[in-house]
Amino acid sequence: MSFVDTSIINRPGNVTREMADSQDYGIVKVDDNGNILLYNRYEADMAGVEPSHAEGRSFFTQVAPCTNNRLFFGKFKEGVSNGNLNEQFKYTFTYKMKPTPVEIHLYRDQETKTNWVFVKKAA
Amino acid sequence: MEAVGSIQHLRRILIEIEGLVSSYSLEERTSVCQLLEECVRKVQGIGTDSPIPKTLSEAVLDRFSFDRWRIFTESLIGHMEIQELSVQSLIWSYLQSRLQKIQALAFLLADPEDEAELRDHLLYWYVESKAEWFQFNCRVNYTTVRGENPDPVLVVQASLSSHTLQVLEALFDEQEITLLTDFISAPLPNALLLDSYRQSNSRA
Repeated sequence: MSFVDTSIINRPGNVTREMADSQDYGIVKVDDNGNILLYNRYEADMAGVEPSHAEGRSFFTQVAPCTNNRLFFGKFKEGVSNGNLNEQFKYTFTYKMKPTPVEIHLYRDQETKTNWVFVKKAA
Repeated sequence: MEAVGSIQHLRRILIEIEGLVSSYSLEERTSVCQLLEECVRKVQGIGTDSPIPKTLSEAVLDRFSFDRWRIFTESLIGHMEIQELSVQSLIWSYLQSRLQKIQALAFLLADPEDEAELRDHLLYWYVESKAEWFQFNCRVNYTTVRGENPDPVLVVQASLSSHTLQVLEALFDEQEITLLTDFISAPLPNALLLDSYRQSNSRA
């Protein structure tokens, strides 16, 4: 069961910046190489990185290097390559923020060929 | 007795304010500290034609002073709810060894003529700290993904390493940070051509 709102996970192609910014979890849209296309307000506040600084950069190597490993980036690459990315797991962010346990949902929408990283602080 | 408006006086006020904002998030506290530092520099610069000269060595010693890091580390220990003194002492030992290492370099390379060399060492320090943080991050998250709680000491060490990077980045320009990030993000096996070596070796 994902923490992501069904209106978003079912129709990610319809997600606007305004809609993304109104969610109480992080939403990061990335291209197939991991470059950030959309970085919502929640994620920006949690990571202390402004969307204008994040967008256009690599999520996995430049903005959130704590995800640059087989557990995270590896799953992303494999899922994108296979076209079936839909992975949920627990993670801990420690990069330039106080240690923050989070839940991650990596998702690829085959219809729109878009990739999403959803991040929610663990309860 | 310190003079009102002297660097010592302003620095003491800065430390007091850092204590007051210790309940803020790390990002908020970093922003407050950066703003306050700017204020101090502006106050010190009033009445002079140019800003107060501050060498790289002084900047490093200031940013890596134990007082600054003590407050930060205490907030991490509190955040992780580490009560045991013996466990806390592991963290303080780690912090001391890290700070002493960089302070020693900054003391030795304090002459303005040595600034270029000190700047090179800051780059080494950055790469070393990031490599260390990668290892901490790996251990923390391989444990997390297994559904276990990572060792809180490890988590604090990861945060201290990561904060080192943040503090160092304030001493570099944007392009230097980008180049460093790209360098350290490229898998080491790739940089050493180890991938192709391993592939050719496995075919043999």
